Amino acid sequence: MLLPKRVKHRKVQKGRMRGKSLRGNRVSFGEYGLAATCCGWVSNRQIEAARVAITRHIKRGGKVWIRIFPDKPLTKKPIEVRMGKGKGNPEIWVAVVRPGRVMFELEGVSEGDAREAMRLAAHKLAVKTRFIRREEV
Amino acid sequence: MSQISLQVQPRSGRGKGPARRLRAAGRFPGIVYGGDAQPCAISLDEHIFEQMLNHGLTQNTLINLEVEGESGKQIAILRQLQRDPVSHRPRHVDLLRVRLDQVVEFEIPVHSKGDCEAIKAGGLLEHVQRTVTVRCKPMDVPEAISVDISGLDFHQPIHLGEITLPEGVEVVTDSSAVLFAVIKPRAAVAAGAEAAGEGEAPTEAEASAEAAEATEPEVIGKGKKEEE
Repeated sequence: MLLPKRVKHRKVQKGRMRGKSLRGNRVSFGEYGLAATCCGWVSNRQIEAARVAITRHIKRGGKVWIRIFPDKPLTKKPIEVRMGKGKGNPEIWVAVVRPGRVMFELEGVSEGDAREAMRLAAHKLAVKTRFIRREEV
Repeated sequence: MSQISLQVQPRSGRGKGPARRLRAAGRFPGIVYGGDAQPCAISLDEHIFEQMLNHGLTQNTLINLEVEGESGKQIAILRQLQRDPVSHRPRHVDLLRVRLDQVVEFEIPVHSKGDCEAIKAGGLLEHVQRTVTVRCKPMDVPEAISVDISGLDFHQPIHLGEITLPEGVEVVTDSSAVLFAVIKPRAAVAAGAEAAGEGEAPTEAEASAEAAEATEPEVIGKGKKEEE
């Protein structure tokens, strides 16, 4: 699963998700893409599940790009622990996704296969998505 | 070289307020610049422009521009189109005014044609360079570069230098740039590696232990303090 090798701080604040994805909103590597249409946190487990769903559907053919990286730690308190006594331990790593962000890209398969692979991947993610194609203009 | 006619209106309001009002009314802002004349702020009908894009308007199409209230036509090319990342509607367009005897840089798309044996044998076609920058007169610009990939094989990519372009078209992009290559899919490579190093693969318990360790990345600067 994806997670950073080194971090500056073990725990970070929650933050806010405002606006649209002003970068990474075009298909840049492959031919087809899966773009988010709402904002949210996508965990490294979800990214891995989506990647597996895509690669299983396209079998051997095709090439997949993952355009998001889970670099934000989420903490959790152990079960049956009272509130207080400090912040919990980092448990989950998430990528902050804003509307328009292209999360996965695909190349080397037909459009039908790409659509189906992305549909299966979209079911694993915590954000609403849209299938997009590369633009020439 | 395809040509297309486009009617636009001059735009007086500047800034985000008037631009937003334009977009709400089904139009969007743009600018025409270049040549000897002054830049001209314009507005375009969104629906008509989308239809033109669907009917083949690209960055190397000559646009016969008719600005409302101005006599005479201008020739322009589409330089940049900004779209909204979510709704995908056009937000702004840049049009570059050109003269037919003037040499201009264009971005030409690269397409493949034909089938190759390496792909049939399980190879994956990698489209490395999708556009090529060329310098030529507007009437000489090719719509696209078609590359015959029938002779393509593993580890034998097609370079830009191997392609012959029409006369009067000068390539700006580095001629050693790779256009197409055939690679072995990663699954096939991994299967080959597994077969070679059988028995060395970690067990599931080892893998889960590694994953548990890997949930805590190294914190930068923590070790430094201890040293001090």
